[in-house]
Amino acid sequence: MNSPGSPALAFFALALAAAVWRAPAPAAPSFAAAPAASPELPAAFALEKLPAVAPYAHSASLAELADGRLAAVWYAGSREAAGDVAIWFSARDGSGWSAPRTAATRAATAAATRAYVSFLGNPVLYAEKGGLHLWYGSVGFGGWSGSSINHSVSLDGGDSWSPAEKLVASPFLNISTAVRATPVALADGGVGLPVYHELFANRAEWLRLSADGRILGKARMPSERPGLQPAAAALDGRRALALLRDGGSGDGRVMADATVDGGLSWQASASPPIANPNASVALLRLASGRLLLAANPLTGGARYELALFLSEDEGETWTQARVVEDDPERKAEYSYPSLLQTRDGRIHLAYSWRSQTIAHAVFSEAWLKGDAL
Amino acid sequence: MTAAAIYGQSAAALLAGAAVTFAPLPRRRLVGLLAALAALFSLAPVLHGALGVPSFTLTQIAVLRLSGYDRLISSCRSQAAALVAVAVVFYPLSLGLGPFDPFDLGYRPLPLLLSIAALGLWLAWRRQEVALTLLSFDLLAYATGLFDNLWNACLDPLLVLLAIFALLRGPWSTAAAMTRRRMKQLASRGATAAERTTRNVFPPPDSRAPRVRGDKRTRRPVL
Repeated sequence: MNSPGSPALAFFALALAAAVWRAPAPAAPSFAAAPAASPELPAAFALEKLPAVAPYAHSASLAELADGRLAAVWYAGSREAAGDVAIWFSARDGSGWSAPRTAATRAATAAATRAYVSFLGNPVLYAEKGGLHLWYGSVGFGGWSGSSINHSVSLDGGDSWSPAEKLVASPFLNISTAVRATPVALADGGVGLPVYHELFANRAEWLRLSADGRILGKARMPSERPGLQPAAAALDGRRALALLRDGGSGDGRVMADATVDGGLSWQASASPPIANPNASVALLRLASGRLLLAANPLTGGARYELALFLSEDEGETWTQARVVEDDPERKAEYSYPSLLQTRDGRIHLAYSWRSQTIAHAVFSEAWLKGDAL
Repeated sequence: MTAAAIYGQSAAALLAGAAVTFAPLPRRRLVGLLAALAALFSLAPVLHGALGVPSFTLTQIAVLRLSGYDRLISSCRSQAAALVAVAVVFYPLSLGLGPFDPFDLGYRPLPLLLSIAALGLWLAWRRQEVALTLLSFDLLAYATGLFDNLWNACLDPLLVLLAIFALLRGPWSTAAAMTRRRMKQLASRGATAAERTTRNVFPPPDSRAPRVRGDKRTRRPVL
């Protein structure tokens, strides 16, 4: 054996000590406290469309800015997966939606990450005290299964964005990780970011991120059938529910996952009796404690109906509350919903409107419960 | 732009340069270095986009190759075999097979570092100083924050392919050397071309004799 003074062994000991010093040892995760109850609002519903920027628009995500404005991001271009697809940002004040401007482009992402980018994908927007976070997918080669996640931050309400940083969430060429649903706030200032993979098999995962956006851990989100695009909502400090898009073949249904340890581990739970045509869903815990789900309750790949469901018992049972869109010709597509409740108690729903633009519905909980307008 | 992004692009350029040195060219090291420099501003972002961030182990091997010191890792055959064995288990589990995800361990790697400490001691005991130094630089790269996941500092699919190639190339090189030696013997005895062909395809039993310590065939470079 080498003598204790062996230079190689001494160098190894030094490097090992440095790695131990750097290795994070985070405390057990817990979810941030739920927002305070909002004021009761009378029944109200309004629908509008965001300014169109390109022939194809898809996959919106909402957040509330520090000054109370509503912000949205989505991706738009000549078509899905085209090189000219960019991530667009717009904010709404009393006078309406601002002129959209790009938050991320293919060229800017490639320059920041020093890696070739073929096209961009789903964005997710999230606001917290430290700023506005944007996660979005980018693909270098191949289709959506070649996606990886980029992270960018805005400290001025979306006027400018930091250069994108790549999250490394896969050991295999860092491909096949994508985002869709909004993250869940953690008590330590970080977030739990639901993601999914499409390489080899469709499956969902949960990334635990630190307050500065680094990955601290990941957990599988098992499901009865191949699951995609998990949407999660915290029920209390330790428990959360996630609902997943059915990524399997044939007629599917919304699937459920649950955690009781702050997202360290997830278990498949009983699926709600809601059909799912392999389409994204949105889940929100309202300030009242009810759960709100937006989904296409259809089969066979159809997305012509977009409905809202309420649960009074933390996802045990669901009741269809309202139908927001329903094309009588059963041809149109109203899909990829995103939900948000702002501090004033209003509930916002954004979704892809016929893949042409993004629609924004704003309503109150009283309207959801069936009160007349 | 982050340090990790710059590293990814630079490492991809080094890989491109190292790959060029395998071509039958004069002054291969110089050509490889020039190719790496050219790739830095052309091909490297494409490679980076296709391969992700190369592991620090692979980058070190590329540097050794470009600097002409790759013979240092020619004795790392058992480590290459161990690497392939780890990869055969690690990748399927990490990519969704079964409930256990070993890749998650790399984000909070204190337990993994305990295993690496044991591996380091074993390498020191076996006097595998080159492998120990490669591993040490991997740990330093992780410590500097270039990698969020310790696995990515040590391992990547291209490195595994290289290890498989090295393992396959070993027996192939040995067989080729045996064939060349046999051809030379036959030529010196004045055998006909037909005899050479026949004896080459069906070598006499003595050429398949077990290797003994000191046999040159056992000391051929692996990479």
